[in-house]
Amino acid sequence: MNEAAVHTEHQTSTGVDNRMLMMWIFLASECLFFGSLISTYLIYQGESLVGPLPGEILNIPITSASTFVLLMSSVTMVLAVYGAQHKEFLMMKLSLLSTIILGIIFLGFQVVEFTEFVHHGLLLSTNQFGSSFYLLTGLHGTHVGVGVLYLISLLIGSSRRNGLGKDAGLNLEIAGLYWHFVDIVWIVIFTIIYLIPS
Amino acid sequence: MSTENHTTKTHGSPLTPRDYIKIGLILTAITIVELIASYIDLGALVIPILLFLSLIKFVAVVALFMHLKYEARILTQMFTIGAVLATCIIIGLLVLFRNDPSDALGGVDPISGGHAARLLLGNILHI
Repeated sequence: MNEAAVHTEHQTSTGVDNRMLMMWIFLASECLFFGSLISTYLIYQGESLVGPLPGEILNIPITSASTFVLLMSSVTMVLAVYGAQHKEFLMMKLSLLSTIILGIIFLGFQVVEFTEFVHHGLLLSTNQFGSSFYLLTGLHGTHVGVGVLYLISLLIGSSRRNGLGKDAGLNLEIAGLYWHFVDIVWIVIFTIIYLIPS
Repeated sequence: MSTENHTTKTHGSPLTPRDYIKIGLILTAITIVELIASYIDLGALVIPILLFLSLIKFVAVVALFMHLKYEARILTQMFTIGAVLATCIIIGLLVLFRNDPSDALGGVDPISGGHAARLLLGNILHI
């Protein structure tokens, strides 16, 4: 292997790693994506002509528990990044595994909630609340699902003989950015949908 | 055009695992306060309080967990542009639909009464 191939440190005109810059630009565009969905929910809120309505079926204690789970997953994610950056690989793997498990638990809460709502007669086409609620929270859940798969791929990668390579810290940090973003989107959704009275 | 290149560098966070756990506990405490605030009758103050608490959590996660506080300024600028534009989209659409009399489905009164857009904008922007 020649020297150029071994030398992974590269130069950019901004002084920031291109992969890191790409992830931040992606997250900025995701702000617009979720901003549009949140606007749609707020515009449609209170416009439903038939039930069930938010006040009748939203289960705030259960959702608070799932919010706590996602918040804790952010803590374990940042610990995984810390482990990768400080070459504490056992800490990194355990924290990564914990984040994956917490992410799956959050998705489980969402499946339970959606199932309960369907039993109460709320479908995507029932009313404006149903369509905007399922769209917003469903797409957020999809992001969590993609994040879980992303983290599983990193965990499998870290189990190989060479681990995640020289860029382990950077790879984990970029994955962490995505995961934390999913968390901050939920912080906003939780407040707007569940806590602010309709 | 400048051809100067800079070697990429990591702007390490000085925070330790203990700090991260403390931050996590503080965020949990704020969530509990939010929950309590949503159950107490605070009148018109409830929405600004909940949005403010939510903003604190948002900024804390972005600055400390996503390490934006310790990263290059260009990343902060990049994310801030996205976040500000998203806020403008939300406010713009709410103002647009708030002033559109046809948004109540052809004049039929919705059964649930309160309109979130009016509620939010009325309390925050006083319009």
